[in-house]
Amino acid sequence: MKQTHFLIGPYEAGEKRDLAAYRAAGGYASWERVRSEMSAESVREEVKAAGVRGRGGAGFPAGVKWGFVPQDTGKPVYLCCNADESEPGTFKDRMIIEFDPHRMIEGCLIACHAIGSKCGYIYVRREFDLGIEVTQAALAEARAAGLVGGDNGVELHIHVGAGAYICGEETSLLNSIEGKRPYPRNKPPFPAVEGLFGCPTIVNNVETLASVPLIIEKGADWFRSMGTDKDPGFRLYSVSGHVNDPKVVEVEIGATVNEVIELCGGVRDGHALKGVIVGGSSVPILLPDACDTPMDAESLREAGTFAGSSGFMVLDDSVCMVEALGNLLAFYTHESCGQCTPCREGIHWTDRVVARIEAGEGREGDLDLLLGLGDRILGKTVCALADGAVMPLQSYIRLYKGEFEAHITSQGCPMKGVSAGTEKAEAAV
Amino acid sequence: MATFKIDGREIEIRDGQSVLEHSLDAGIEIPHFCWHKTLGFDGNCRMCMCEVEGMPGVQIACGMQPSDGMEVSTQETSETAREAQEGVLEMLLINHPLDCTICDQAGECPLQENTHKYGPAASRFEESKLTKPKKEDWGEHIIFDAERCILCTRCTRFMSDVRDDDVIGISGMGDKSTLTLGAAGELKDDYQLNVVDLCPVGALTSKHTRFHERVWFMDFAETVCPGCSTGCSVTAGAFQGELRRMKPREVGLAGHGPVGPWMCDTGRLDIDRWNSADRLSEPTVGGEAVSWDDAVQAAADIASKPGAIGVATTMATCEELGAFAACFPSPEGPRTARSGATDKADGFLLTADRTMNARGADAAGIGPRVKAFGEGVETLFILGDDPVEVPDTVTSMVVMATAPTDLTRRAQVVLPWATPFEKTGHVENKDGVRQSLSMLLQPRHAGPAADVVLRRIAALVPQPEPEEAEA
Repeated sequence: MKQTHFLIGPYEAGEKRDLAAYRAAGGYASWERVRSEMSAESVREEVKAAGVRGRGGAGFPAGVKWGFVPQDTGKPVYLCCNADESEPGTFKDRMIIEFDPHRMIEGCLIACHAIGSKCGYIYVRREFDLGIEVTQAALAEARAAGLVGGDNGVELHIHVGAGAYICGEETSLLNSIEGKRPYPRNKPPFPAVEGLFGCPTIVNNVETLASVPLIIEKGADWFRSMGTDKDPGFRLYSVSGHVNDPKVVEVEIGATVNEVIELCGGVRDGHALKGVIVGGSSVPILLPDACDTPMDAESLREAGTFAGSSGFMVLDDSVCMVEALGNLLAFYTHESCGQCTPCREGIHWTDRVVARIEAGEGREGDLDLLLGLGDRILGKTVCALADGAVMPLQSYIRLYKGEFEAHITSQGCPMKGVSAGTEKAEAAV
Repeated sequence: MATFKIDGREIEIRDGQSVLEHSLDAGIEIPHFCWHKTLGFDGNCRMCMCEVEGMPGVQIACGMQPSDGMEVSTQETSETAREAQEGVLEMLLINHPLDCTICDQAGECPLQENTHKYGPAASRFEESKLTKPKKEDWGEHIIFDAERCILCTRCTRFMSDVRDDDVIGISGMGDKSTLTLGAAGELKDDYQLNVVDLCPVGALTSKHTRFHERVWFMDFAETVCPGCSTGCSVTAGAFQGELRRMKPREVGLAGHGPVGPWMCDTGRLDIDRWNSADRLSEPTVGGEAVSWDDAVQAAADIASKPGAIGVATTMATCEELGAFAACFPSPEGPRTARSGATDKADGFLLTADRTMNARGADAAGIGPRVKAFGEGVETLFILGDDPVEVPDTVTSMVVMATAPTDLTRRAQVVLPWATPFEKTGHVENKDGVRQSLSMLLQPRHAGPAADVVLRRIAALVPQPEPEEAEA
């Protein structure tokens, strides 16, 4: 395992970079080179050759996605930078935005050039008060310096959300920018063909775009020298939960779960590891014995989970899994946009049942009901939000079945007073 | 020729149409709620999920374009599709109040019907149901029950896409989502009752029919809205001998605007006039009830007087107008004029001509409207209930009308007439679309149909000398 410092440097140094600092560190050299020397196609080819996968959740190779933009529609092409980071447990884009906003902006400019776009939107999560302020200031600096807008013709706008988790879903994000209720769109058509205002649009995550200037500067081969063949490079993990030193870390892809835990000072003293969520709240959990899994796309798939948004949450033995699941389901119930039936009604139903089990009113058959409901939701909705609720639902019940059954047979939470969540709740009172 | 298969049946592919549209046109049922022929694809209810050979899981039929060689399996042939559809129904029903016993939609409710066919026999939901407003007043015509609503957005899409008015929206998220009128507070549009028709559950009910009668006790007939010259094809419903409602028909030709099937509230709600208890019940001569034979003779005597003029409403059918014109033969064509209500056109479906058969009157040779009859008119034969201005010079008059009026009281011969819902016949709308009236209700009087009566009168009227035939 090798720790890297490409994106995380300013954060580790506690340095909030303005334009001068970013330029002093070599910033915008890639953009200057791209706009003066490189064709759109050569930029696309370089990023495609690097094989960088989307860091927002789906993990789709960015260069391949860029290639889906039809070049002859006569319509404008748009880029959307998805800075609506709201997956529970994920805060690595926030780190980039707050400490190194120009890297994100440079990535946006290069991506615009690559897809033939003259206009990009940076969609910033409403709760990022500081992030919004920093992005606005950075964009003003970049504009004043002639990097954005003006003669080069690539204009960037900031669009601030209104606090809904669903707006991180790329088509909801587009509807939100258009001023509509942010219901996810049915796909196809995919945004690359019919996106913002009905025009070809690419939506990329902040970290993905922030990696692009480095790929242009150092080349695809350099990027591929890290990680695995199918999942090259490095990535950020926002580590939270029961580690001694929760923080954002950057490692070459292929680091194991345990290695990342060790980077953060190991599991909280006096406790044993119970499980790790490696990709944000929407992905299946890993048991401790699976924590030697390297976190590249293929290895994680074999282990039954995926990298998602790399919201890395460590749970120790103080956690009641029923309570943890109930907490997540309450979140998804609240954040379901309500557009399609299985999500609107189904997630709400599972939330009610799990809350009842935790409250000591579980019934025989509840677990089969929950697993079966999961099957009736999974893959049957407009977007992946519901899948993001069902995957933890099914994985927690299957992997911690005894604990769920104990709640039902004992008609109560065996961990009451022990659970980390309960402690916190009691401390808050 | 590109084809694909639904449940093994080979179907020719028509560009731009979804699997669901192909399927419904071929008579293969796939249950659905949010998709509607006139509103298109939205994909929110997830009811029409089918299995497709070579694709993982299930796909919604409304959002999928068929491709050559594709093999689609519906709930009839795929256990996966059936299970997925049952799941959607199970979830739609967990918070639905299941108050079918007091719901106006019962008996004509897609949710009820699909649940019977494809839904679970019993619910596994043992939590308490969410409660939402049961009786939200949406203005003059509509009551909204938020608990019954399945959020298919047909109503929001009708108002925004067809009426260009975003008045109905959705507020709240997830299970708390509900329809809202926002700041508007009420619906004012003259096409708002179409959303009651479009609603696939009993969430939107019309104040005019709410709690009035059960649909399975009603009689229905496919006929034409008599409210204007658009002549919207409707299904008219009656209960205990009274016209109770009109709903636009999907298969009709007329009145469907660009895509249609809708109708205006003005026409839809103008039904009381056809239910009047104050009706003519028998033919009279000089105020005395007479047999139809005597009445026909008396009417023919008046129609035969020199200078007699016929005035026909364009509410009459083609058959009635043809027979009426024959009562006033002259070498220059029938000595007739027309009458009928007019009002403002609304620029969409409702026209200024508030009668349904002006084109039929044209075809029958009925003359134009006249502002005032000339000096010396002594004899009039009026067909219809329009308030024709009769000059003082008139001394002989026949009136064939549905209800007693000042004109019937002044006429020597009065013949009872059936309303548009009490007879068969044809009418031709402003675009020349010919449609049939069908008999929903029995006429309030005994005797032959009006066109028969008028033909018998015409037979007794002396014909003019035939003109020399032109070579």
